[in-house]
Amino acid sequence: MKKIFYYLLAIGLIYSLSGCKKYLDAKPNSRLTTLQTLENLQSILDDELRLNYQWANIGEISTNDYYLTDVDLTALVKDSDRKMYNWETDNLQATTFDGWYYSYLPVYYGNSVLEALPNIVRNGTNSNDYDNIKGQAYFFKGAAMLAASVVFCQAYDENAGSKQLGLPIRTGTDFNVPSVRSNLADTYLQLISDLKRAATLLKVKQVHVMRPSKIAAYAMLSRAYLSINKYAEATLYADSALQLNSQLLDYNTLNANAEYPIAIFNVEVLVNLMMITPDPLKPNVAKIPNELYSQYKTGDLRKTVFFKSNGNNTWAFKGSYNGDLNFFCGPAVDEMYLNRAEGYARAGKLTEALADLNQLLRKRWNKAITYIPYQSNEQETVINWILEERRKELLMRGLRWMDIKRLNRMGANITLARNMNSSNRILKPNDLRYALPIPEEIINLTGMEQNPK
Amino acid sequence: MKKLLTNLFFILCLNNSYAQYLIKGRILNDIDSTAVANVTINIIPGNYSTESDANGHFQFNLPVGTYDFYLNHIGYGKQKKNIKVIQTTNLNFYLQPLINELKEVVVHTGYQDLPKERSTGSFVSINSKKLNEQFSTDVLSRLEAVANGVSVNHRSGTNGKLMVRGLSTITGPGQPLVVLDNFPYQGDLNNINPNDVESITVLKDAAASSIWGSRAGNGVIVITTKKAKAGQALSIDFNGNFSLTTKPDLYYLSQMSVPDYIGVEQFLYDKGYYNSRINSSSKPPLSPVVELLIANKKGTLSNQALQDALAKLGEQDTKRDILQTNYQNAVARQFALSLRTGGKIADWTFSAGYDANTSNLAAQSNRVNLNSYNIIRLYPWLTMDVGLRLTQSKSGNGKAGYSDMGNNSNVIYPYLSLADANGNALPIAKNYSLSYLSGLNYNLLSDWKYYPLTDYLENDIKQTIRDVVSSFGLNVTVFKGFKASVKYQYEFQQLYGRSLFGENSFAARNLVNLFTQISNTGTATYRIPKGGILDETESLLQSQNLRGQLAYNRNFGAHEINVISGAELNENRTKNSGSRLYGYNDENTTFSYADLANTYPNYVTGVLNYIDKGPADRQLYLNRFVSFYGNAAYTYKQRYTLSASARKDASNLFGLNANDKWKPLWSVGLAWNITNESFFKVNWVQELKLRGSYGYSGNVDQSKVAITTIFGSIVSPFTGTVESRFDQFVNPDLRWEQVGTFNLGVDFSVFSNRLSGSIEGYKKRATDLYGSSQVDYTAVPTTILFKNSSSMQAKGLDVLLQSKNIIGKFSWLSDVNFSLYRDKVLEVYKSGTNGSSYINGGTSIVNAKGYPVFAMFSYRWAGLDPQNGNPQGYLGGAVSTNYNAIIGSGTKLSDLSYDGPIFPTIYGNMGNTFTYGALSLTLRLNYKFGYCFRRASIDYNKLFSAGTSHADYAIRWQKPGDENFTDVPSMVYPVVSSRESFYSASEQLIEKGDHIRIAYLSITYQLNKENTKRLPFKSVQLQANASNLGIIWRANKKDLDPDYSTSTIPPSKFFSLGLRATF
Repeated sequence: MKKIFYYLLAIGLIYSLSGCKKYLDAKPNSRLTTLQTLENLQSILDDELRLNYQWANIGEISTNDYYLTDVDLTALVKDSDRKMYNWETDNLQATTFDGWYYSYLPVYYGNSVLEALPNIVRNGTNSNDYDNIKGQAYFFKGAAMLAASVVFCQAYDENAGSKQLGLPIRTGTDFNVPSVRSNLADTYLQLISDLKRAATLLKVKQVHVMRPSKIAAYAMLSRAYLSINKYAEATLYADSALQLNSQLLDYNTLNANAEYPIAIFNVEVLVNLMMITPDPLKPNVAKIPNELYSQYKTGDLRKTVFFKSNGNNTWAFKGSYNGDLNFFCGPAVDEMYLNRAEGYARAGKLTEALADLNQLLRKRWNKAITYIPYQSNEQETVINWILEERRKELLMRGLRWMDIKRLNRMGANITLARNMNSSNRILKPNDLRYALPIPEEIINLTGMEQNPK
Repeated sequence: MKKLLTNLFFILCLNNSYAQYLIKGRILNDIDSTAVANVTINIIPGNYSTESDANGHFQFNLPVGTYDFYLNHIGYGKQKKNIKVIQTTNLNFYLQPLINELKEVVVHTGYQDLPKERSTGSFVSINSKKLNEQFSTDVLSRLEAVANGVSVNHRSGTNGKLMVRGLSTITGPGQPLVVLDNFPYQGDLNNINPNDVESITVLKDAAASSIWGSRAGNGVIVITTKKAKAGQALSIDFNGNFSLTTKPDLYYLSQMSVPDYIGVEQFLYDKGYYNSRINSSSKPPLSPVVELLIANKKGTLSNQALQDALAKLGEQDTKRDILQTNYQNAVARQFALSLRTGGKIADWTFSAGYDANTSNLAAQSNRVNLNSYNIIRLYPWLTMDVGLRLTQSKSGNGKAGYSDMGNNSNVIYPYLSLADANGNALPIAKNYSLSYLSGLNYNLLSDWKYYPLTDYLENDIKQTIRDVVSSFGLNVTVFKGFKASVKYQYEFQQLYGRSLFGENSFAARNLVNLFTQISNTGTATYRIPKGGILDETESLLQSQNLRGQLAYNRNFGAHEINVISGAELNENRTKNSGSRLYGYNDENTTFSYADLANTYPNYVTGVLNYIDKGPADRQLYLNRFVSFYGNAAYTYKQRYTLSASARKDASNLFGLNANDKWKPLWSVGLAWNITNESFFKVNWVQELKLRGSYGYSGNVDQSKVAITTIFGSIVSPFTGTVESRFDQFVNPDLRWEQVGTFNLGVDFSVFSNRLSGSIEGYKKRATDLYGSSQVDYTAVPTTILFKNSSSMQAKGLDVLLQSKNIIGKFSWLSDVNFSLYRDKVLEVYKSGTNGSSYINGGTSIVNAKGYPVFAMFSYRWAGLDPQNGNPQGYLGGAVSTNYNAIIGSGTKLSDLSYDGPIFPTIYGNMGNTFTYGALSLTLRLNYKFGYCFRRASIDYNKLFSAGTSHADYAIRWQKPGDENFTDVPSMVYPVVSSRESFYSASEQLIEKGDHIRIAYLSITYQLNKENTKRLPFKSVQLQANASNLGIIWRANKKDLDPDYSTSTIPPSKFFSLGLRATF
């Protein structure tokens, strides 16, 4: 008996010691994994809650496509929103999870994927997925940097780009590398090269528009070039996108009485990116300026699809491509028509420009009323028409702030005004405040240069 | 080992060379004449030593002579017998069991039982008698009032956080390890039946706790259960008690007067503050006042009617109503029965417990405990122990409490009425405004209103915990003094939650309505099938422990050796799962399916949403530990003890290299029992012992990993593939935290044991602590990162004094636990220099180098601006109202006011027991000194946006001159949030926390058979107890309880009556 006991004890001990290493390598949580397989890499790129839903909305707060009454402005819960609306210069972002955070989050996600990929062997069976994942990583990096530079930098100046303040360029995941601002030319060089790589790697069509496709990358490139007033490239990439998808949504098929008439993931959407609607832009307070509303003519379906009457002769926006309160800000087919049209027009190709413009507007026009196409030989008239229609079509799509900045850089002389308590605040063209302040917390932590006020 | 054996052999040979007689004997219990095993017998002169066997037998060969027999046993104490040996003799020794348990204390480390006298470490033992002066369903909550060096931070969470000697970690898990008998207890600590507890030992220093290695950094609490002793006659204990808790003091939560609140709402309404809510397409809830004002504006309510309605609201009081309708006194009943007996072959223990509680909100809960533990002596050299512990506890839902009165953004209107004059339930605005809901057509929709008075009747929310702990052990005596043992424990705990929201419950009606689509032709499609909703969650815990241990324990005359060494494996496996059924009918258990894969329009907003999947989930967790440990103690002449222990741990911490997984920890200790020295001849000193120890224990946080990990959360409804998010960011330097503790103590007992106690000083230095710091979120998408780069130091003094002031028929006993504690951050990992990052509500750490780990900082206060009542601070030394700069880059750490530590630096408890015959009375006090807290005041930001009010509103600045008697700022509209942030963190809101409170008052009437012969029991005891009686002295003048955060109501008064009988 005693002997048997000792044998059992000895066997038990030996067994437990030899199995030790394996025993301790067990995973502590079934959901926990590392970035070691393509599936895992794709799974973080599908984190739509953080990658697709949180694009910087602070530029949109600063635009002139809406206004707030004095009562509604003072009733805003966060005074940072009030300051943002009034183009003040300090403490405009109330929370940490601000535009800056969500502009750099996709950059980190992208870098993580790009750093993990070389550890996975690319072979004949996985090359499609491999490239597609790499493309998505580049897309999110490039697109997020574009969104951030539109908000936090001045409009690009062709002659002074290398002297303008750009954004910190993060090329890896090592957070011990300090963040230092680059110049704007380098910022654009980086984001355009990322988007170009994305365009070569991505699939033409993804399983869902939550994932960026090759078309989306072309469209983002077109947007990027337009934002620095490089029309030839903007036209080229808009054309590339339209070659692959030129399908427009016919507004005649929509129910204009619906709370939100335009469905999410509709045919025009190239990749579903969205910004959470901030309080000042919520339809219960944000009112569309009469000057803008009156530009929609009788027969223009957008007049009823986009707007809801507040009953007191003011209008609220309800035309989000996100199908709800939140604003869609991804690239879409209509934007590509307008980009190409503007590019053609600026290149003097007026017929092509007007063809694009009219093709788009026919889908926005009530079938019961004859559509009278835009016709002109005047380049400036055509350009102005396109810009007018651009503002009307791409309302609340996160593009207006970019357009005002780039057009003013070209001398458009757009002056914005706020009228709180009849204060008549003015934001002059190319004002320093067009580059919104970087969160004070980041300046405090990194010591990077704040935008001049 | 081999050397030892040779020595032994040598000693035996030496002895044989004289003419010797066989002295045989037996050691018996003086009371019931049962055998007493394991009594150490030392014979002087000659340094003979042996131990009695299981039947109490022992034998020696002794030459003729006169000998002193020193008998020593943990439960019987020491005895000396003088024996003359002239021939072979049979001796019977009768030992008196120790009744005064304070005298000879055994400390349980979970690995071995040590007489306190021989220990070098710092142990606190609390016996069942002291623990039973309090009544409660759980056992650990009783520690605060009686233990030494233990404090509870009630500001963190509902049950508070128990701390042994303050902090040993900055951000890591701060709870001490709780061990039940031999192994860490993994289940819910509330499963333990307090009546089964024999004693609780708190292991405070490294020599005591380092045997638990990497999990002992925060101290260890060992709970030892009652077990039958060998030779014990059948003992039956019965215990029954009844407790009552009064209704909670809702009025402790400060709020402004109802008319003031209505006034603010009217003011905000006039300013248009509510317009965005009123116009919102999501129809958010509106307060009754706002609804009245809207009706008045629309013209449907006359001015007179409005005034009347507002006046009526002004007289209402939500708290008063709900205390009347929904709250009651909570009742707890507890019964326990235990049987214990020790026989020749087996000792067995059986106990049962039953608890039935009714909460303040009439929620029912109960617990059944069954416990059996048997020791079987199979062979003289082999004993086996088998234990089984079963617990089942069930709890149900009660009525709606005060916090359930809130709407979907947790605003509780102070003037709600829950019932009309006839007692019919009235609705309150929960998710939507009542006027919107009243305007809906209910032909196809279910009633959409929430009735807090009756809604609980429609819900059946239950939680069941089933816990099985089975243990098995084998103990082999290989040869004299050398024992091998194997212990195995398997624990299985099921936590099952079942929430049935009936068809008529608000939860079910709301969801069904939300996904109802009504077509133009007037037909309804219910995307969520009508009926109830059944949510089930289950958490299964399987914990296995296997330990092999070798122990050697011998006396060689003046030398005493006590060695243990072993290895153990521990595995905890948790599986969490959940499910939801829609359209559930509980009678015939039928249900329907809802389409969770597609989006459907929200009835109110029209936005497309997925139907909520409820708690549906499934997750697996697995923690593994492998450890090797050893502990050795050597005592010379019962005067000097040297102890050492070492332990190596490894776990399956994710992402570490196997080498880094191993963590060696060790300790050494030294004790000097001065009273046993021959030169020590002070007859008024009965005990004097000096001891010191130094060593390391560790702290491991299984949730922290060293590599970038991602966490798969859900399958994307869009792509059909798994979605993940980042869980931890690459951190290659990750290590386990470690705590080095130096402890120096003296134990004493003087004046015929009238005064006894201990004084201990300690110093601990915790290094490699996980330090958190704000990070540049440009570089990594997180705002806080952890690194093993912080360190802290703590020092303190624990004093324990017990005195018998008067003894006799009337006796008066006192005891005092007094602790000093101070800690300091030595190194931090922190970037950013703004003062604001050092300011918080007092619940989280601030990481200021050179200051306590929890330190209170605030903005300097320059009073109110006499012109407008704005709060004023300082900026660059000058009075300023530039709030953005004050709370931003304009204030550095040195510009802040340091107000003191947030944790008490002096704390403890004290008790006095007066006994007259069978009657005794105990009063215990708790005290905490030397710390501060931040009180709440009016925050206009929270008042406007969240309805959080405060009585300070009434004394706010309203006109010039008010600044002379108030510090409460004026109300401004619109709110400047930085002004509110500054005021709520300003130094004049800091209060001293010092206070003394009554822990409990207990009156006992005890009858023993010895004194009262007619008594059918061995003893019977009646006990009445009152606790949470409140604070008897406090430093703050605002009547605030510094132990509880401003949003917590301190526990209500608690009264108990109990009967304890032993047969």
